[in-house]
Amino acid sequence: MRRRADLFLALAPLGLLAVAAAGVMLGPERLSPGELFGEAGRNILENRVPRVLLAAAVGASLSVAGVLFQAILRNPLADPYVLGASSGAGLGAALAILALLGTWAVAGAAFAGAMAATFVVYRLALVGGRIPRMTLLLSGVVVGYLLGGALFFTVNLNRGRLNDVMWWLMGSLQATEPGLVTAVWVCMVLGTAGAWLFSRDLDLLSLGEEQAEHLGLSPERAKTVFFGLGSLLTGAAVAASGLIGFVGLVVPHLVRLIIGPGHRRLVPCSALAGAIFLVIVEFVSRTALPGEEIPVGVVTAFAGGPFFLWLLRRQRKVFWG
Amino acid sequence: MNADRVSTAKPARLSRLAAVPAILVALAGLTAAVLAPTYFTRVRSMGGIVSLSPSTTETLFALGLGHRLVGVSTYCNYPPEAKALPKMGDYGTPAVESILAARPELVVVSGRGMNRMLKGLERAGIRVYCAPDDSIENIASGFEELGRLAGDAGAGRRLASEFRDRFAKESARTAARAESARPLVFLETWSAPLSTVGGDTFVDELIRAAGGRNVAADLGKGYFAPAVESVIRRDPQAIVITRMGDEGAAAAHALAGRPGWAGVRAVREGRIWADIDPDWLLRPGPRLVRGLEALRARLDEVRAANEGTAR
Repeated sequence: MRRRADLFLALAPLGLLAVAAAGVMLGPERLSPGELFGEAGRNILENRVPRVLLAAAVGASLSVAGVLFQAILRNPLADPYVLGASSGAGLGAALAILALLGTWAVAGAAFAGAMAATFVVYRLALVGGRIPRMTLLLSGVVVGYLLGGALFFTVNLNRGRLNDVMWWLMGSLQATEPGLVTAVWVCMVLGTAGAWLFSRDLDLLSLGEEQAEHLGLSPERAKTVFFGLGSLLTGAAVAASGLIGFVGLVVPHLVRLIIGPGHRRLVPCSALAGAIFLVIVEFVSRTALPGEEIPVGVVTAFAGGPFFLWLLRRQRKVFWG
Repeated sequence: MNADRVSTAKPARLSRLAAVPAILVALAGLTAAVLAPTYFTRVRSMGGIVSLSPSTTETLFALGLGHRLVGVSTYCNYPPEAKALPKMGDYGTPAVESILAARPELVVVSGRGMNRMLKGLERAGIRVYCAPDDSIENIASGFEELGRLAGDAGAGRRLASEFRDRFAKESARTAARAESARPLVFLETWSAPLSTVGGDTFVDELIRAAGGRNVAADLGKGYFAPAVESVIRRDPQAIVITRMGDEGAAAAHALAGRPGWAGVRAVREGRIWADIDPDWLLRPGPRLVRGLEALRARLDEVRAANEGTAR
């Protein structure tokens, strides 16, 4: 496993560069490299590069957030949205969209919504200084439902804007604001580096809290830190690109199947795999239908789902432990 | 001990009796459910009209039949008289109870065909008419049909022929124009996702009649999200934003700032227009004529500027 992990870690960056290069070079408009980097392709290049960069950062953020939440909750179904971040961000974004605010304000509101929702979930789950896993999961789900209801109520009052909100809920990697791309990259690097630095604690945490405590870890403090990191990663990704499902759930599992569960390698490998996956998805959403663009969420589900199911059947033994 | 015996013997009989009201209620409900459909289809009309689309409301007023309206959609804002009429939902979510209470003889709505709610109104004995919106010619036919259904066929014919003539006249004026002499227009109907109109829409016809060319005519159908880089590459000369006021200005500013758009000709030359009333361009009603005139005037300016630089 370790050798496989090292091989993965060595090859994945090359893979990422390759798909990113393909994403920049290819698109619905066919241009030769000479044209693309010349005067004729300047506008196109200027449009493609931020999209590819955004896809990579969002893919990495969501995957690492998935790793964190799966470790905290020790639940294979945990994803970046399980603790209410998605509906919190959705409500924030919808309110900003309905108030006709600009791109930055919508992103800021989504980020604030995600952070606020996860904070509320965290506070609700706190019982006598501890955070029981079940309470955390349940309060996450219930807060998610409540905010989801508020989101659809808000949209229902202003159905003329349904289109905007729907598109946001399906996820989009059309980079409309270059500054946002930078912001997501900064959050992604900080969050991933944090998760990697504390990867030993993540290992201990996924053993179970009692064992972790015996081995000298304070599980409550570790959970709080990882919770914060996961929310930061999710909030930033959601703010820039809406709700892109599937990545945060599936990529960590996929990588775990290949390289094993050790977090020191799982964190960077998941980040890379998530980035590769979403760069490919962005490319497909831009090119699959001639002349049109498809919502990113549709592509992640269609492309990732069958592949994951195939892997699941093939490696049933490994997967079910 | 004693209490125990009571609780095992008596309740059996009591619970059987307790079921009787429930059974009666179920039978009453069943009867009501069987009889209701036949009862409710016999609602007698009071003769008014409910319009559930802004365009059909405008058409009825243009036909001189605005006084027959007893209800309009929440989006109907023109002419000003329409705003004072009772609001009865919209195409997707008609306020069924208000409509049934008003007992109109006709419900009209634009395009898209029947939906479940409208079928429900039909079952209640109300006539429902969907005015077509797929081409300029069919919009004109819709005026005729609406006039006929609403009781003034002559007005319908007059409005339709006036509308057809205006479009025919403008189209004839620009028909001889070479494709390359037609300014390329990108019409942004929505910014997230970036959306526009395809070649099979009446809006595309309007752009052509005004002397321009829709940059997305062959990229897709209906209202859709075009491949952004294809729009950029085709380098439109003018961009029409179909929102007005602060919102239109914000959308224009945002579009110009998106990566890759700074070099597009319309942005470079400052031709992002957010001041043509979107209802003149996107509502399949009689005011399309105004949209045609406004856009034609703008495109003529572009052509004049082009010829100036060519010389």
